[in-house]
Amino acid sequence: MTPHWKSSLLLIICIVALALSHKLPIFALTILLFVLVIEGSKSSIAPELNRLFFISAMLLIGVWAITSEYIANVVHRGLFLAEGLNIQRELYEPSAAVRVETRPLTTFRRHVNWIVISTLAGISWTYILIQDWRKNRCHSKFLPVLACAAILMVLSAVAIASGSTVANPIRIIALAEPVLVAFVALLTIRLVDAKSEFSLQLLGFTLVVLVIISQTVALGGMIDEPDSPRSHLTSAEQDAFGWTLHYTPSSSVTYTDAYLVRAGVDPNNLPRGYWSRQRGAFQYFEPAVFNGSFVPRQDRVLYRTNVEIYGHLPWGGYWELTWNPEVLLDKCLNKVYSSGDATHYTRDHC
Amino acid sequence: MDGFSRVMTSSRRIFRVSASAAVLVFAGGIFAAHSTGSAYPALPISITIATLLVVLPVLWDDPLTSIYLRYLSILIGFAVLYRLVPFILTAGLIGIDPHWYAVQVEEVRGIGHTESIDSPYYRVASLYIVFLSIITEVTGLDSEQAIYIMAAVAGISLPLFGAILAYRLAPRDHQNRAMIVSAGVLLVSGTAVRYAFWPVAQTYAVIIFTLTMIVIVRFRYPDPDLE
Repeated sequence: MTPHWKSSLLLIICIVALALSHKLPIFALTILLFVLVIEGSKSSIAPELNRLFFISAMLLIGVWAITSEYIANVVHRGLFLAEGLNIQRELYEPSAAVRVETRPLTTFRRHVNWIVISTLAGISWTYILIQDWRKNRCHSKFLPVLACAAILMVLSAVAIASGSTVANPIRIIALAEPVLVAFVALLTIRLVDAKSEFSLQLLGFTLVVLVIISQTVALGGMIDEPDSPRSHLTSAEQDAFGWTLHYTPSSSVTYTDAYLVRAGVDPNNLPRGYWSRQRGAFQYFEPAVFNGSFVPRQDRVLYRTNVEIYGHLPWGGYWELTWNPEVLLDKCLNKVYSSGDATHYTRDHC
Repeated sequence: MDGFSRVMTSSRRIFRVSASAAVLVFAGGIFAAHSTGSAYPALPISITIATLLVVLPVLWDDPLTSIYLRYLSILIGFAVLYRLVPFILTAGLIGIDPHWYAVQVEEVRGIGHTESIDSPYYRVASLYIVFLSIITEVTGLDSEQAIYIMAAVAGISLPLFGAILAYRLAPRDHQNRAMIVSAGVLLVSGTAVRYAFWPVAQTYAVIIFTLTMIVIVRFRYPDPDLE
């Protein structure tokens, strides 16, 4: 087997593995285009034309792919709204909860990591390409990665611009990030080259400091961010969840918040349906709690007492309650267990 | 002492000083985070300073290849720890998806077949869940602990990939510097870190994607002199 066939076989295996590993077929598309560019760069076309042709083609196909996804999502959202108007009204105008508004500065801070990296990578790419062009050398070895970075940057930018409800921008950025970072590194080392002027060297150092700080600034609050819902359970909450599993009859339903329903999975009663309202013996009580009440048939409620912001909901958004459900729960139900962070109530008469 | 030895000694001295300072700062950050029970702000601040302490000396003074590998090793060590520490601070898994994956792994292990996966899509595209199942079978860990391993895998693979890619793209005189800068940025890069302590199938896809690119570059262009 020649090296050409060996590498082709390996590529096919990688592509199949990649296509199977996640739902976004765009990954497979990207890889296929990547291969096309490599093969194209070895053809007999003039290098400059070859380069322009393939970069343009990849950019166009990238835009087409993300636009298709955008259209599909808009149609989907339209159908959802048409079929569920009552639910939507209840969600968008809850009487006992307010949507947590994100400040522009917070939004910027959350996205500063990819903004800095994609911008600098774009500048680096252009800079390297222009230098390459001026020297008139055929650096086709750069081409695949350049083109790949191009498509990924386009995907990132369009996804972000079209909003997180259309495509998950972070997932696309996760794919693009390693490639883009390599470009930032290339730009930096060109700037700090000993042959450069002092001002350019200083700029190189500044860039590295800026990029590294921007990454940790963006990540800084992800775990304990005060204006986002908490994305992990405390030990006391896990204890209360375990208690509920152990002491609650298997036939009964316990109402709790959406995050606990999904995150606190009952190993003996495995969940069915990723976004379904009910998982095992647990069912989430939003949006009823957003409207100042629980539905009357609820016999068991596991209430987390230290949740400041509600999120992780199928309809999105972060919410803050304007009332204290504990007052109603204490009045209408019996407190049978408390772990400090979570309390289990059972039904009495109200 | 000849010129080469002097350069070597100087490079080693710079490495020792910068690496020691970086380790101390990061260890302090982990300790502070553990004491307060909160990753923020001690962990991000300490990793920022530690990374800068490792990367900036490399830009300032271009040492020899053997020293670079030490820099790279320390960066990868930081990357793994940085992604694993959030798990120590929380009582269980972070995020909403990993719990679901953990349950699916248990199901696959119990039944021995991907038909048990509770998602029509992931029943077919089951590579991530199968990978975690293999980890649990081989290591004897439970499914949640197998998900912790993803943080370590991502911590090693992504900075390493960035280093390799930058190395092969950079001009010959600057390959080592490019390698360290790339690995240093990927150590702290926001999205990569987030998907390491909140691992989903996407994390695995990114790792495969990066490996694929390395394979392509390696097989098609075995000659590293790119400029």
